[in-house]
Amino acid sequence: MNSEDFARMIRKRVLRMACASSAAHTAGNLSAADIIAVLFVDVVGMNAEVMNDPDRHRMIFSKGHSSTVVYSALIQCGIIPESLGEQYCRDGSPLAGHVTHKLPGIEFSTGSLGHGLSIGCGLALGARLGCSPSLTYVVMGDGECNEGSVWEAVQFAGHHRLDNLILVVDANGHQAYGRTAEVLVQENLAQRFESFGWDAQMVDGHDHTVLARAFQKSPYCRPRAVVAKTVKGKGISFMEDDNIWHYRPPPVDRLNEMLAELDANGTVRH
Amino acid sequence: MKCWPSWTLTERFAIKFLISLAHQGALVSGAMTPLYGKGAAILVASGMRNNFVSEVTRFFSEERGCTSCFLTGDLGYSVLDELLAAYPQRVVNAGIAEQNMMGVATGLASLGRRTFCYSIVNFVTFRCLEQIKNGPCYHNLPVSIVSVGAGASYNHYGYTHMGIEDISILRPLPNLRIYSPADRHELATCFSLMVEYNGPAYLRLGKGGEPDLHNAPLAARNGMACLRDGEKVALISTGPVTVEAVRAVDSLRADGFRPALFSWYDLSKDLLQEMVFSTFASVVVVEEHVPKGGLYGMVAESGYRNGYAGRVLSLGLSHETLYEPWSQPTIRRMNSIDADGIAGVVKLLMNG
Repeated sequence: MNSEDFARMIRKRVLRMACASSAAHTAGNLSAADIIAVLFVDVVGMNAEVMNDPDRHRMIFSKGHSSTVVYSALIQCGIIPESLGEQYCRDGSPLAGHVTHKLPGIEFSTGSLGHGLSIGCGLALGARLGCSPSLTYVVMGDGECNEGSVWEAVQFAGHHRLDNLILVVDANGHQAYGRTAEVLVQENLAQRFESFGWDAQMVDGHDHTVLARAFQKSPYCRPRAVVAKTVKGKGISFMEDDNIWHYRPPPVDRLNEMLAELDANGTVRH
Repeated sequence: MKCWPSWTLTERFAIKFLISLAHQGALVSGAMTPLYGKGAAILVASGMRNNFVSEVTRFFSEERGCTSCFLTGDLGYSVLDELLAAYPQRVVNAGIAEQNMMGVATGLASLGRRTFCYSIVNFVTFRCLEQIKNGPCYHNLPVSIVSVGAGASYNHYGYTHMGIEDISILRPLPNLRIYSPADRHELATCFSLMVEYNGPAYLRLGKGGEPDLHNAPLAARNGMACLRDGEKVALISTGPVTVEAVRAVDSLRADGFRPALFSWYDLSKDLLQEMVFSTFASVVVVEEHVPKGGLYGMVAESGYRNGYAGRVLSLGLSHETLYEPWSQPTIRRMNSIDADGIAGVVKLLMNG
């Protein structure tokens, strides 16, 4: 399955999980779906055997509330069973609202924003110490970049030239209580990373060709930051760029309509 | 005897250091390293921090696989020089960025690399508490958090540098073991327990000059050491302030009172019922820490849980005494956790 089809499949699963659970955060899962698809399919080549390889490329989902898109990807890869998807956010289910390391395929539990990049620095440093070819990918949100701890990690990675560390920011322009530009403006996000010694670029976060190229190790012996400009709620026209869908679960009575829209659009390209 | 002007700078520094130790009432016995051979031998207590550095240096040199890492939050100037020089890849100054330091340690430890994180008490606990909670604790990883400045050792530097609430805030965290040694022998035991444990741990050290309270390495590793046998009243102390309890108990013996004294160095183990509650009618808790959630909190919780009917008195720090930058001896005196203060309270208790 190519990454575009993978992205479509996981978007559909995200919507089904959200409708079944009435949980929040749908739109932020949809904005990240192409990033996740390219990582799983083209970069990591994720499957059950990969998790046994100590030199595997590692992914940290620092934006831990975008959990359904990760769970969907894990189901799509056959790493966790299909039936678990129906148990999202249910009593006793391992599929919690924020990703948890109790599940195969997830390296670290996250949910408190701003922690993942530092852990990524540790993985990158450890890989270097162990002469491992493993790359570390950290997926964050743009609102998450408000956190000071993020910039501590950015300094550290830049100083130590952790070129086996690649950060992807799902820059959908929204955070919890407003647009990122209205809360703490960060129009120049890529330049900010550059100023700390990173190789940074802003790309279309829904163009798989561009993403796959951007997710390569930097040729400049620097950590790489990919600011992926995305649309919150991407793929469902009535959700796109409307932050109410950060909170409101998708309407159950429109599920079939939403799934049909995804199928009609085929690969979700810009 | 040489005249002052003819001493070298190093010798003068050592003399001044000894004098400052004497002002702090340190017993310069036990942990001595003879500095000079001829003339008057100048003996300097090496203190827990320096002993920790020796322990960790030896650990690094003997470790099979050479995997462990050591991160410092830009602290340890001149103390960590040798370690930094010997293992430049694995010993890293992470800068004044403790939240990141703890996250880096989490990542390293997940790869099987025990990672030490070192800084002053509050910076390696309060500053990155959430990272400790969500990282090494929740994932149960071998991150060894080592703090310096337990109690009021940083005294004149003020409240921001006092390690007096760390036990309270760390106790609730899952999987975290807490070690609070009183001297270098307890430190050696705590260190070995910490590096044998494949999970997160916190080791709090004094700042320096702590005298030996034990005469030899500890025979048992059960977590609580009996420093003085006794009857009726048991003192329980932890960390560097325990020397004041030792002095208090020894002076009480001269006056005919025989309370017992225990040093609780592994706060993750509760031996209170078998060692204290079953035998003593009253308990006095001595800590250079706030009682709320600290040692007093632990003893009170355990006493209630075990149905202990005796009195539990608290001698600890009150925040009201800490708004001025007093010296450590003054802070101890103001809070009755100096030797005289402790002895006074115990005498009243044993007389009543």
